[in-house]
Amino acid sequence: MLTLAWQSLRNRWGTVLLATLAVAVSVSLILTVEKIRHEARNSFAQTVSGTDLIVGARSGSIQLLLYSVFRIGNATNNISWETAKEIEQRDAVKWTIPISLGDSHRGYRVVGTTQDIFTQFRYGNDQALRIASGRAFDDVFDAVVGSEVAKALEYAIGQPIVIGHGTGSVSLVKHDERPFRISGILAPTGTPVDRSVHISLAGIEAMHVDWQSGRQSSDELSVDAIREMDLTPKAVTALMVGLNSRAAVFREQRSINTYREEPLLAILPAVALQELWSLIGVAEKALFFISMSVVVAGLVNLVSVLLASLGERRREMAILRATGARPIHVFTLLGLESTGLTILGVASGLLLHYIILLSSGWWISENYGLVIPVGIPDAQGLRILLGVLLAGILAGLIPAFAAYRTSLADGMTQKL
Amino acid sequence: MKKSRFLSASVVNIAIMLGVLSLAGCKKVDDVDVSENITTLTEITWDELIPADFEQPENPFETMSQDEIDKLMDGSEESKAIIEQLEKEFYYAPTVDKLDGMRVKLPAYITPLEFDGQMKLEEFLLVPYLGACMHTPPPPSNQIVHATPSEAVEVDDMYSPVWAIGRLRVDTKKSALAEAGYQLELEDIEPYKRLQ
Repeated sequence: MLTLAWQSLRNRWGTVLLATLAVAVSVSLILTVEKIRHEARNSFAQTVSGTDLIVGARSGSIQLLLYSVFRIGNATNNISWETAKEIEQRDAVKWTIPISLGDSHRGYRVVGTTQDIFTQFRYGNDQALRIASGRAFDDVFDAVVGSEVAKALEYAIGQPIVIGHGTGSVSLVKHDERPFRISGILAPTGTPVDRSVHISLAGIEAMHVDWQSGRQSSDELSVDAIREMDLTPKAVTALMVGLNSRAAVFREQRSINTYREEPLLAILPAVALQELWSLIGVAEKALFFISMSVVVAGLVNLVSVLLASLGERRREMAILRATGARPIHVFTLLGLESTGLTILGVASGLLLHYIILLSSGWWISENYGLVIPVGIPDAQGLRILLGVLLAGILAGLIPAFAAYRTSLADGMTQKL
Repeated sequence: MKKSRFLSASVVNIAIMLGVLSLAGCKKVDDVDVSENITTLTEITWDELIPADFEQPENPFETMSQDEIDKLMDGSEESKAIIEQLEKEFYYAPTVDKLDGMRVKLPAYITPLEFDGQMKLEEFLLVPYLGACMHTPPPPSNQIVHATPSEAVEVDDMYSPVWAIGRLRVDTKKSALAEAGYQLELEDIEPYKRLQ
């Protein structure tokens, strides 16, 4: 039976190949899209962990999340240093990480913060930041860069870098005379940390010593003179807060939102993340739906090719019937054919999927910071493969049944 | 000949199956006797989380005029102490300790705390209402349950209420830093349908 099926296919290999190719392409499409979706979701959800509240000047919850965690967009105002201290000293608060935003280095965001970012900040699965080489900032002009910054700009420890004002990718006005020095490079995290340059809060103040009027003044203080100055910050952009008890989050959030000294906003990062996700989620689901449609199209194509070929195969069926095959054998023969083609299509689709991932993985990670690990398909991928296989086998029963009925009607002789 | 062989084979099969099942059954019985309330599921309401004899003190700020509040919050050390005392009295939210260890089913809304890589919930808070207005204070600590599932759960609609099923723990340790509160070792989450 199998050899018969094989021989028959070989005879029509042109059309058969095209139909299988259509199935393969659609399967590889959905597998690749699913994989990218999975990793994008992973990278998004893993950006912050273990933080109870994020506090900023009063704006909107998604805006605050975007600029404080994702480094997208800007704050409208800062929080005074007194307020930041007051929040840190509350009984309910366990730790705070102040961050100061608004400056950049060659398109990458500069984040002013304290040592607590290395001890308290968590992302992903409760992972802390790891310094791959060098050390945390110690001197006023020390900088710790994220892994992507170091790789893209080919930085090494000890290298001087210049930080510009504002967040444009090209700094038209630079703080030339006060070059910072790279003291450390962070291990990759798969979060926006990789694309940031971290300096101390004192470093931010030092940078802005002569920017008081909104533009650089002509008096230049020497680097050493600046080190001697009192560089206590007057304000910070946002505060990441960890509480002693997670259930206290509602009360602290309300207390900060109604703070009388300054207009503040406190958000629960998970809630804001979920709100943002509900926006992105729509596009994500649409993508899945489209790729599913492509798979259905591929299978429909396969079935129609087989059905169309039945006309020219009536003589073949008649010969088979004449040599002793019963209609049920014809059915089985066609069924085997379509099953074989579906298996071949799915297998080549899987192969094509790996080829695509391996060849473009580098490009995707360079341009989108998304690392896609290549391995055996996960549960979702396996479910898709199985589903397509089953659908293909079932769909293949249609031409099989049609052939069965035709050979019944035709009998041993074929009336052309 | 064939039929009798078939019959004897199936009898042996059934006997083996029954044997295995009874062993499995035996194991279950041992487990059940270990401690009380291990399988009984009690449906509870939010009111039951507050001790029946507890009277909620009035919010002292509600009865004050704006002038009085301003005078109170003049930033001096004494006023800070007074405010702290008032807050402590107002925020005191005792727990019902006999609920500790009970397997419960509680209708609640979810406030997420931690997501895993696929946006499934790893840790969350259960509250009686969601997105409440700013006219009233947030829920007191005995109306908040901190839920920790053994593995991340997927909830399709975060804005609809759910039935949270699991073992309730009452945290009676109350220190200057942390409030006493409820924890739930979450077993299952079911969507909330009105007639249940």
